[in-house]
Amino acid sequence: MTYADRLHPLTVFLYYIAILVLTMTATHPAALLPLFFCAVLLTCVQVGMKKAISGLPLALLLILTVTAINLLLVHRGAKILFFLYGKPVTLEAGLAGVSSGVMILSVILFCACLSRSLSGDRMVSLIGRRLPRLALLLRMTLGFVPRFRTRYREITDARGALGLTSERGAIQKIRARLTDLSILLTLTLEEAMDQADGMRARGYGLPGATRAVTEPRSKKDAWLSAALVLLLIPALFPLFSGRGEWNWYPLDPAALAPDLLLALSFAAGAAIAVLPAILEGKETLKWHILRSRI
Amino acid sequence: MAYLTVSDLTFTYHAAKTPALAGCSLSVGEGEFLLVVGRSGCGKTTLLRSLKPALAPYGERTGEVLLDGTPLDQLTPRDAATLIGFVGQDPERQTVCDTVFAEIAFGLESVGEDGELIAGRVAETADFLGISHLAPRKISELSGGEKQLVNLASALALRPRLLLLDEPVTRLDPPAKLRFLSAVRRVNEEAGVTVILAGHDTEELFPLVDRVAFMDGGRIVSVLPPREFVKAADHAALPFLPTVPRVWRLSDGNGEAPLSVREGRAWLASLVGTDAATEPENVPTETGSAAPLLSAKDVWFRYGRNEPDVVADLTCTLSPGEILAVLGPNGTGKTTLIKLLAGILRPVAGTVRFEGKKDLPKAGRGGVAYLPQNPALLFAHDTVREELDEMTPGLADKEDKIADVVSRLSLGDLLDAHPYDISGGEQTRLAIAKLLLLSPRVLLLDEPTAGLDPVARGELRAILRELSATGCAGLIATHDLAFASETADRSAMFFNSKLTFSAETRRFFSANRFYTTQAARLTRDRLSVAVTADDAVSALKRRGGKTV
Repeated sequence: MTYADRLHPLTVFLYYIAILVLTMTATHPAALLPLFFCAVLLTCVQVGMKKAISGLPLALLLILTVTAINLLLVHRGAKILFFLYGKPVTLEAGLAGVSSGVMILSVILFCACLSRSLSGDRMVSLIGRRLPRLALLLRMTLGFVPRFRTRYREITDARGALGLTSERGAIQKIRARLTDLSILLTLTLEEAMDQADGMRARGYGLPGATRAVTEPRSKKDAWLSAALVLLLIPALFPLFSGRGEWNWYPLDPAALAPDLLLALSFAAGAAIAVLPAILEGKETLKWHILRSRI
Repeated sequence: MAYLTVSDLTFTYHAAKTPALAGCSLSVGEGEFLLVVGRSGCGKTTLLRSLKPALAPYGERTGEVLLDGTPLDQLTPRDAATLIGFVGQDPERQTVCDTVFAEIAFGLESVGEDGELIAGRVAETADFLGISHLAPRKISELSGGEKQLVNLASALALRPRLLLLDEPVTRLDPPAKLRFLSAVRRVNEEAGVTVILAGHDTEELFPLVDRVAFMDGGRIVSVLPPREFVKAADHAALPFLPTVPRVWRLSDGNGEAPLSVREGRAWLASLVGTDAATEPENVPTETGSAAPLLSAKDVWFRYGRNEPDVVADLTCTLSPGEILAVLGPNGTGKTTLIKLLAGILRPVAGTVRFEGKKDLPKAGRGGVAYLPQNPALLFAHDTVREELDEMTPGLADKEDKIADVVSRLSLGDLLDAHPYDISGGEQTRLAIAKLLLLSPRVLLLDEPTAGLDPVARGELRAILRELSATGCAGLIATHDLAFASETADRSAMFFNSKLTFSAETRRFFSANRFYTTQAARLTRDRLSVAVTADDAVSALKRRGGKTV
């Protein structure tokens, strides 16, 4: 049981959406870096230090790849490091690459955290209240995908064992795969007919369908939502005012000048992002203390 | 006053020549438990579906169905959805949602129950069926038996007064079957719901039901209480009797028909006395007479590095002409074992050898052929003929080979039918025909009897024995103990990731006390242990019992 499980899914969802918007629009290193640290911190809290460290090589690879691509494709910037195939490779392009890499990594980490905090059916129940039809479609798709996958595996296994799929030649292989897919389709259609029966048997399509209420709202949700709104106003200020926009090409030394308003707004953004980590971390800590008392 | 009255119901499917239901009349009392038996395609499913407006098939219909005095077609759609519950055969195909909670809530949401009340209704229903713990689980992670209980729960959540069950347990293994049927019994006895169950797994049902209806060719031939049904059973109805009453009917047939093993043993004691026990005949087992065709040695397998072993240190051999039954509940790894032997999966450690060679012959031809549990997985074409053609590309004597398997598996009348339109037993026969065109030396069959009626099971048994006589070896993974006892030379139990206690079939079933056939349970300590119904009948006849 994590802290997020005790909140209404809407609260959790809004927090993550806010964090993701802030991260994706952060161009200023002073805004991006705290968000990045929050992403790492939250990941560590959710999956544990050991597992988080095991993902480090992949994270570095991601940042390096994005940087390398940026270096090779963008040749703007004043500080030329060296020439590659007659094209200048600049410091600014490198820094911009690192910055984009960090941003992309943070977004990926936050998305993974969101999926750990909100399971599929909680997400669906979130939509279900307003859009019952869409929710049902989503639920069916979620139930359908694993079935589709196992069924395809069974077909290729069974027909492969008969020598019907591994005939020589690329064209024959493609043809065999297409046959497998057509069997899958036929079986799925047959299944869909039974499924439709199962739905009709239970009154699907009658007017006035409702949704089960499974997620009551608590006081905590109200407090946290209020905090989010209060913090979002300053945090979104740079986005709407255009102030604090960062440009790598060329690097403007004036942008590095201290700016109190901007610092406050970045701090508000960081506060939103650090809140889930603090709340989850508190939970973990509480468990450790409880356990040590047993 | 009857709760449900069917009068002279005749129904013909669109574009069909003969009616699927021909003048069916039936009346079912409130709270009654009615069992409907009959061959696949006899009209059981059509009858059941005709009783549920949302599922009623399209076609021409005459006659009348009254539910509590109201004609079915005059029920409001909401009443039709809530008053009549329906659970079908395939546990996988009826579920709609991803989680169990959502699935059980589905019907309540559809009929517009108050959102705040739904969770309570779901909880109550799940608790009654003992599946509360499954509520947060994903449907795709459940076993077949659990899924079927969820299907029952989602029908019950709407609080039906009539429950229609169409072959609900044919796909389940014995423990899951018992769990499902005992849940149905509670629904009937404790909640007073009227139940109509169609199916041919009658073994556990006869002691439970009030009446048994026998259908043949779209007609309801008879509707009788179980004991009278046993007494009156004619040649066509005999295969549908459970083992105990069948043995009684074929040997003694006097007095009251026994329905359960307990009653059957009391009857046997009165007939032959309790001290008549003879030791099981010692059948010499011929082992190692021929070089094994297919062998697995010290095989280990798991699906992922950190996952548990599904097969651990398993050794088994298959000699030419031998049929081995691998028994055990679903989900224990029988299918994995078959896939290892078929070369679909590679063992993590250990070896699988075919004729002593490590390499399995490439893809089936002249080697090992695999029949999946759902034979339809193999069908890719529009007619049975094309399905067979597909297996023999560019062979010179193609026509002869096809003609041969068509006659051996009696597919002659089906050649132009669509593989999806033929019955389950016919699909199994077609799939075996496809395998035989590869001239395999070993057949690996995964649950071949799932969904087959008793007559089709008998046909399959005959086909397998005939193949065995031509030197083809077979391995059947099954939880159908009666079928194994009648078909296999050797039986083994798959337990704890390996084959435990492998023995000659008669010895296997006579040595086991609990994991054995009804016939063995019936005759233990009374007669020389008979493991099949036929054995029991002939043993009784030898003792001078009366014959029918």
